[in-house]
Amino acid sequence: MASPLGSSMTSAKRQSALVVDDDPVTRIITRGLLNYFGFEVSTLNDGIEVVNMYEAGKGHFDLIITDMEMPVMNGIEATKKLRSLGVGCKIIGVSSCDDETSRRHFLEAGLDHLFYKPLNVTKLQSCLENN
Amino acid sequence: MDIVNQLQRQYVDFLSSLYREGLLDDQFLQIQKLQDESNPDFVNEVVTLFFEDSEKLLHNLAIALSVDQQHVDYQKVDACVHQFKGSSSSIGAQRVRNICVSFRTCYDAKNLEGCLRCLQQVKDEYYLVKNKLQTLFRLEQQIVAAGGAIPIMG
Repeated sequence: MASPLGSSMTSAKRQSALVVDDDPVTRIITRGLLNYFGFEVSTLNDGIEVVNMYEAGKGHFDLIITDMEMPVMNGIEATKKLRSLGVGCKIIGVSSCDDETSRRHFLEAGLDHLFYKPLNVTKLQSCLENN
Repeated sequence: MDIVNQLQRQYVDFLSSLYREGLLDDQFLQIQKLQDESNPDFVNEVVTLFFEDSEKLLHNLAIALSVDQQHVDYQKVDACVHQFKGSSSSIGAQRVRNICVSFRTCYDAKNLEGCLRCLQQVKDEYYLVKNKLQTLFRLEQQIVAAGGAIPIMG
């Protein structure tokens, strides 16, 4: 299947993405979304796992999509920690909180974009096309 | 009208009714977009996982709310309902999601009676959407078995 974003996404090397979410249903859907846009996708269950991965020098993703509410380490703490480790890739947050205060709080943590759940093709396309 | 056309018409009418009745919202359509030749069973895979996950959450909620008022672990209830709200929202099960929103109001107020009412409502809505989706998948199987393609809804 050709990527809907055109040949740039299918040339030479596919970009890699990481989905971090404690909900298995959301994880599989987000993975499907990213596959649709041509990404190679890995998944983790919690913010602490992605931080541990990068601290061990094993994190090398072009894009991270993270849930903001997770049991052990939430998306804000994970994002702050990743940015303090020098992680420069695009980080997109997905949250069920749609108030302006929460939104500002999340973006100040170092996210590039924040979406109100659920994430879908339309929302992700607008974000990836405005790179 | 041949059998494939008949089944396809039945499929479209049935799926339209699910949207009209508010059982499904646009998010389900978005998930259907992700199914293609390289991922032909995507919707079925996602929905099956939703069923498995939901039944665990309902079981855990029933246990958490089966104790007396003084011993209800409302944090556990919150965790289950939050996850259920997220997963139902992700697949487009709109009415299930909406009950989860009301459910939160009850456990925030530590209203056990309200929580038990919401638990029953969320169970009713979940089993309704589950039955409807299973009927939808049976229609898909019949269309494919008859040599037809599953209609794409706009």
